[in-house]
Order: sequence, then structure tokens, then C-alpha cells
Amino acid sequence: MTGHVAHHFDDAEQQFHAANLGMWIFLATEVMFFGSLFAAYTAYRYMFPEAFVAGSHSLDVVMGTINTAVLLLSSLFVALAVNAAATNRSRAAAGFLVGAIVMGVVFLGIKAVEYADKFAHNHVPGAHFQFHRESEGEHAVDGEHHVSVNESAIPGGDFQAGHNSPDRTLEKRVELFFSLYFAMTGLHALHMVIGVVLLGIVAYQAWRGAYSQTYFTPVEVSGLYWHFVDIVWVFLFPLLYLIR
Amino acid sequence: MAAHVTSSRSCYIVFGALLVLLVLTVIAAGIENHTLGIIVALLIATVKALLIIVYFMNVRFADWVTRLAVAAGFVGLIVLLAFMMSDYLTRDPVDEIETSPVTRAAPEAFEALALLHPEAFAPGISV
Amino acid sequence: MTTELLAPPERNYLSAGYTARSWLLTVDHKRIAILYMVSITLFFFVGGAAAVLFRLELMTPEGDLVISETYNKLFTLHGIVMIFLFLIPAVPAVLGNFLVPLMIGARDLAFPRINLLSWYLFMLGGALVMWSTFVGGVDTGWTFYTPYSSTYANTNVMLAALGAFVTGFSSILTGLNFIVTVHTMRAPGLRWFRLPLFIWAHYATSLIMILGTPVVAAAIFLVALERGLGIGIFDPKLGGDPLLFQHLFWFYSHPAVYIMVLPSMGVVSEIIACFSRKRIFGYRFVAMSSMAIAVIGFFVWGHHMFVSGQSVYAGLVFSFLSMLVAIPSAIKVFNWTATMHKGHVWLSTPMLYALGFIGLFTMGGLTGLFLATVAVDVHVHDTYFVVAHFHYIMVGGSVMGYLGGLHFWWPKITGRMYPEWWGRFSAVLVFFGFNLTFFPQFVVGYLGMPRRYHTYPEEFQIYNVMSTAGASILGVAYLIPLIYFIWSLKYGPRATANPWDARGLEWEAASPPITQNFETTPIVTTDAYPYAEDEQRTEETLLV
Repeated sequence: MTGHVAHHFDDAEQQFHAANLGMWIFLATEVMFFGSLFAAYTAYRYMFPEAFVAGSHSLDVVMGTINTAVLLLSSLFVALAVNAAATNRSRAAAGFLVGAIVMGVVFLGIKAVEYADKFAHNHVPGAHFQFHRESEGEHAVDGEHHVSVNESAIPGGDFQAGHNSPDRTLEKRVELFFSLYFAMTGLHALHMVIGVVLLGIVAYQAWRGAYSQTYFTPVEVSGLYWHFVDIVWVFLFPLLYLIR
Repeated sequence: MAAHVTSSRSCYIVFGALLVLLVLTVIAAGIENHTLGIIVALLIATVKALLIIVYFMNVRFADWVTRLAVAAGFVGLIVLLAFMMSDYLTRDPVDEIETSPVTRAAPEAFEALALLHPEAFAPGISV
Repeated sequence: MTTELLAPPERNYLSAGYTARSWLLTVDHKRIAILYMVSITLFFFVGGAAAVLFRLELMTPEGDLVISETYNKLFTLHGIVMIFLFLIPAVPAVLGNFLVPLMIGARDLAFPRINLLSWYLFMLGGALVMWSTFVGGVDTGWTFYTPYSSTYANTNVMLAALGAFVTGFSSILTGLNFIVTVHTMRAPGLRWFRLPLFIWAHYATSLIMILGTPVVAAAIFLVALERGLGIGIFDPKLGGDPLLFQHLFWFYSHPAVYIMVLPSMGVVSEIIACFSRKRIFGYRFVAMSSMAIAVIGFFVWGHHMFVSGQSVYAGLVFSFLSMLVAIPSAIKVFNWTATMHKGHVWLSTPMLYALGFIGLFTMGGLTGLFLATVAVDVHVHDTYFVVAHFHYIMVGGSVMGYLGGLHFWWPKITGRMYPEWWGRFSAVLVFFGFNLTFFPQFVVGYLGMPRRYHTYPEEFQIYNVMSTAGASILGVAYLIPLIYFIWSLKYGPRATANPWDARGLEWEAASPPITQNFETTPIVTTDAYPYAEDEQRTEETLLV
């Protein structure tokens, strides 16, 4: 199918290889981009383990688990779409891609419900942030347990330490946890939105029968991107929702 | 084209394995030990990520250059984490600093300094 | 030389279109290189103008020309523009863009449209930085350190940081393009160890671009969240650690120094081989030392944080690893020197720049060892010693390499020769002006003059006057090439396809090359730099 080969490539094989490698290198930059946030997470979780436990307990594990399953299912659809496109079933590929898109939208919907819950409970970092250990018990799996905050374990010092009760200090550390929660899940959600648009374009092309055994590069490459976004969530889920 | 893709059957099997691992990681969250909990959670997440990379992303059919590109990001991330945490893990324990006479005297010293040079402590920055 | 050779090809990449549209929507890597060249030259003179103003201020110990706030904004502007908008794209985006496909015998980069997109992102980032300047400037320094940038600064931090963020993506896309191109589009027979060292240097640079840049982008993203939305990540009030920003920032920004200097090293390897008429000494070592610098460069960032509150143990590790960078750097310097040994050295303009590079880079590198030593760094940290050190690397290294490369490939890029006498004159002038500007800063820094203040004790005045005098000479020396390069576009003699009788695929293309680069895809049968075997012919055909 020479019609798909750009002027500067010798053949379709070279073009496929270049596109594939290009996406993988782009994903390497994405690993580093999200990885920086994971690095910030690592440093702060090391500094304030109690606050991370407390913050994590207020997240909804059920919603998080459902969302993970939804995203894994969307990844399955994308993998099946690539398989379909590569075996000359362009229409079937379109169907699978639409399935993946629907799952992506469901994920974003559940995420929106969770965000709304955070706003309702004043768990959004900023001037109105509030966090009370006792009142957050409804989500806690292991019920009440005493949280001791050791001021001396906090590097960097705190000039007002003397004026703050341990609860107030914990509240600030939990705000830090939620800052990271919103930065990481927000960035992830942004990637999901981009992915949905990307898959939408590819699904439309697939519906028109653009892909075949000899040319399915866009399906493969946008699929790589989608799977990567899935992998980010695979790490985000236990690190944010499942801290004990 | 020489590119191979994972068969539908393998896709379904991998998806099943991913769901099992998801259930496992939720169960493992019951582990009370903080450190052990992190290790188990990360191990399960890594296995899930590898399944996705190797099967869904067709890396098992890829050449060495692509595999290198796959590894590059993760290697870079390990370098970032390792060297950054080498700082956090070895910082002086703060309680020693806080109980030293110098640190204890610091707030008074600041107040005295502010009395002597109020202009240096004026709030706000003029542009 | 026959006269047919002197006539340029009728349909070259420059004559492919004369409309604004033909330039702004081009996907030809050579035209995009020209777009970059014009843009970074503009930014270079913007950054230079800021330098002129603060060098004038520093002529006297009192703050008599600008107030301290303005001074802070001037050095910040100078830093942001020179680093993000000039040095980082300088060699890769101009010479690399032009030469990478030519040198490997390809028709274009792997992703021509992404290449154009990267220029537009670059211009968008540049526009944001310029905008932040016109509406009042930024005073954080180019490093955007928290918590000053995230909480306290009352200036246009967001705009400038966003500018740096966007240019970062431009740089990522350039690096991505280079790596994929080198992997997938080499001409038949062009094995890895036949590649020119320029390609090796750009490959190593691209590695840093794709692995480092996202980290600084994330750091800037977090600062923006904190400043714009009040989501505190580095905020000490919440227990956040401002040093975390420095970790993320320097994880990129230290390797970024190698983004600036590695491509220039590639340029120098090409020039030295050509004007010594010898194959480069220890080719594989020079190639691998580029890769080693790129890799080790990621292990050393903590040496910027010795006195910032970083753990002393981490400091010791970073100090030791920083010393390791000296090994591949020294391998390069020794191998270039060995290449010239018993070669037929011809002191043309590019060669003068390359020699200047070796000398100044060596100075900058050796003083880097001082700074990597924890005890010495505690003494000279944030003094003019540091300023002098990194200018020896970035200006003495990167800019000398860029100018040398620009002269070397100017005939290829434009099809015209520049005036050789003026070229040599300005090359020598740059060298003298540069040393007069920055050598006194080593002395005054070692004596204790801190950087980033607009006033200083009277006993430091003599060094600052020397510096300002040198900067004036340097300014003139940079203007001269600008003038004769523009002059040469119309009045310069026509260049042959290979005016230096150099080796390499780019010299087999016409000057200027046709849009497709080569009439037929070249087939490579020899190693790089096959100079020695036809030494005799070389002697006879040299024009000068």
C-alpha cells in the first residue's frame, strides 16, 4: 500500500517502525513526566506516613476499584481493536474502539463523582481545606485508631509548630496528600480526555475501513498511548487509595 | 508487514489475569504493616504493568531498539527516585537540630533582630 | 574546479518557494532549520541587550543605572532567554535539524510535521517569555526556585514559567525526531560506528532531551498549580519541601548543560578532523564519551544543592559522581588534540572557533571540578566564580561551537562563502573579548563577590570594569558575523558542493541542497572521516 507511505520513507515497514518507535520514545517522556509526580509522592510519603494513611482512608476504595476494572476493560478493547485491524477487520476494530471510548468516559464520570465528593467535604487543597480525622471514619476500613504526629519527624522545621495542635498539623500534611492526589489524578484525567479524542478519530477512520493487515499504524500507535494511561492508573490506584 | 499482534484469545487471558491481580491488590491492602503493604502493592502493580506492556502493547514481538525505548523511561525514573531519595533518607534527624541551643534561641534572636532593623522585616515587596 | 560545479542547482531547497506560506508551512528540515536560525538569533540579541544593561550597571559599585528590582529582572531575562530560547535550541535545532538527515543520507527527519510543530511550540514559548517581559518582567532568576517563585514573587512568574514549559515540549519533540531518524533512516551501509561524531553527539543530546525535559516540565507544572490554584506542593507551611523543586529542576537543568555543550562537541569533532586533514583520533572513544556524558550527566545534579540543605551524605555521593564527568570530557579534549598532532592544521575560521572551544571548555571544565568539591563549593557557591565557570562552558563552549559550525556549514546552508578575513578577525576577537569578560569574574568571585547583586564593595570595581570592557568587545565580535553573514547572502562568492574538501554525506549534496537532499540515496562503504588516504590530492586542491 504505497499510498500510505510518506515521501521520505522507503517503505511501509520503515514507516511503521518509525511511528512505533516514536510513540515509545514519547511514552518514555511521559513516564518521566508522571514519574516526577511519583517522586514527589515518594518523598512526602516518606516524610509524613500518618498523613498519607489518613488522607487515603477518606478516598472511596469501591469507586477506585471499579474505575480500575473499567480502565483495564478499556485496555482489553483497545488490544482487541489492534488485533482486529491487523487481521483485516476494520469495522470490528471500530466497534472495539468505541467500547474503549465508552469505558474511558465511564471512568471520567466516576472520577467526576469522586471530585464532587471532595469539593463537598472541603477536601480540595486551598483556603477552604478542612480535614478532621474523627469525622472521616466512614470510609476507614480498620475503624478508629490513634494517630500520633511526631513533630520532630518533620524535616525542614516549622516556625509555628508550637502554635499548632497535632490535629492542625496533621490537617496540613493531609492537605499536601490531597494536593498530590489532585495533581496526579487530574493530570491522568487530562491524558484520558486526550486519549478519548485520539481513539475517536481512529475509530472513525476504522469505521470507514481505512485499516488493514498492511496498514494499521494509527490503531497500534494510539493504542500504545491508551495502554500507557492505563498503566499510570495501575500504579496510582494502590498508591493513593490503598495506603494502610 | 512484519508486525505481529497478540491474538484475541491471549488478550482475554491477560485481561482475566489483570482482574485477578486487581482483586489481589485490594485484599493485600489489608496488610497492617506499612512497609510490607507498599512492597506488595508495588509488586502487584508492576506485574500488571508488565502484562499490559508485554501482551497488550505487543512488546513481545518488538525488536531490541523498541525494547530499549520501553526500558529507557523506567530506568530514568529509577535514577531520579534513587538519587533523590538518597538525599531524603540521609538527612540529619531534625529533632537533633530542634533541641540544639542555637535552634531553641532562634525565635528570640529573630525578634531581637527585627527590633534593631525593622526595615529588613517589612512585609510586602515593592515592584 | 570546473565552472559547472560553481553554479548552484536550479531547484534547491531555498528556491523551492519564496512566499511567507512556503516558509511558515514548510516541512523541509532545512527550511525549519533556517526558521530556527532566524528566531534564535533574535532571541540572542534580546538576551544580549539585557546583558549590556546590567554590565553597564556593574561598572560602578553603586546602584546608579537601575534599581535592584530592575536588575533582578534583567539577569532573569538574560538567563531565561539565553538558556531556554538560545543555547538549548542553538546547535541541535539549527545545525542538527539541517544536518542530521543530510549526514545519514536521509530525505528528511522521520516526522517532518512534528518538526514544524516543534518550531511553533518554540515560538509560542518565546512569545510567552517576551510577553512576561513587556508586562513587567520576572525576578526569580532563571531557576524559578520555590518558595519564592510559588508564593512570594510579585512578578509575572506564571507567563515566563509557562514559556519555559512550552519550549521544553519543543525540545522533547526535536530529540524524539532525532532518535527515531537515526535509528530508522540511515543510508544503506551506514553502520553505527560509521556515523559522523556530530550524529553521535546529537543522539546523546536527544537522550537527555527526552528523559530530562519532562521532569522540569513537571516541576514547573507543580509550581503553576501552587501559584495559580493555591494547591501547595512545595509550600513549607504545609510541610512541603522547597528542596524537592530543586531536585526536580536540576534533574533536568544539570543535564541541560550537556544539551548545550554536547552538540557543540560534535561540531568541533567535524571541524578538527576536516582542518587537520585526519581521521579523528580514537573515533569510538569520542563517540562513546558523548554517550557517557549523557548518562553520567543524570547522576550529578545534587552538586547544585550542596549548601541548600541537602543531606551531606547525598552531597558526598553527588560530588564523587560529578568528578566522573571529567573523564569522558577529558577523553574528548585529548583526542581532539591528538587528532591535530602531525595533521595538516589549517587555521581557517571554523578551526579558530574549534580551537577556542577546546581552550575555553577546558577552563570551564576544570573550574567545574573546583565547584564539584563540596568544601570549595561552600566557599564559592553563588559567587561570580560560578558565573564565570558556567559562562566558560556555555559561551566558551556552546556558542563557540555554534559559531564554528555556522561558519563551517554556511556554504552548505546558503550556497555562499563568507569573507574569510573578517571571519578569522571576529573569531579571534570573540576569544579575547570573552576572556576579558569572564576571567576577571573567576578572580572577583574567589575574592567573595556574590552573584545577583547590583551593588558591590569598591575594591571589586577594577574586575567589573574589565568585565564590562570585555563584554563590549564581545558584543562587537558577535555583531561582525551577523553583518558579514547577511552580506554574503547577496555578495558572497558561490560555494562549491564541498568548499573545504571535507568528508561526509552532507558534502556530497549540492550547495545549497535540493529539497530531497540527494538525487539518489547514497550508499556508504567507508568509515567516517576518510581523510588520510588521499592526503596528496587534498594538498593540491585546497584553495587557500
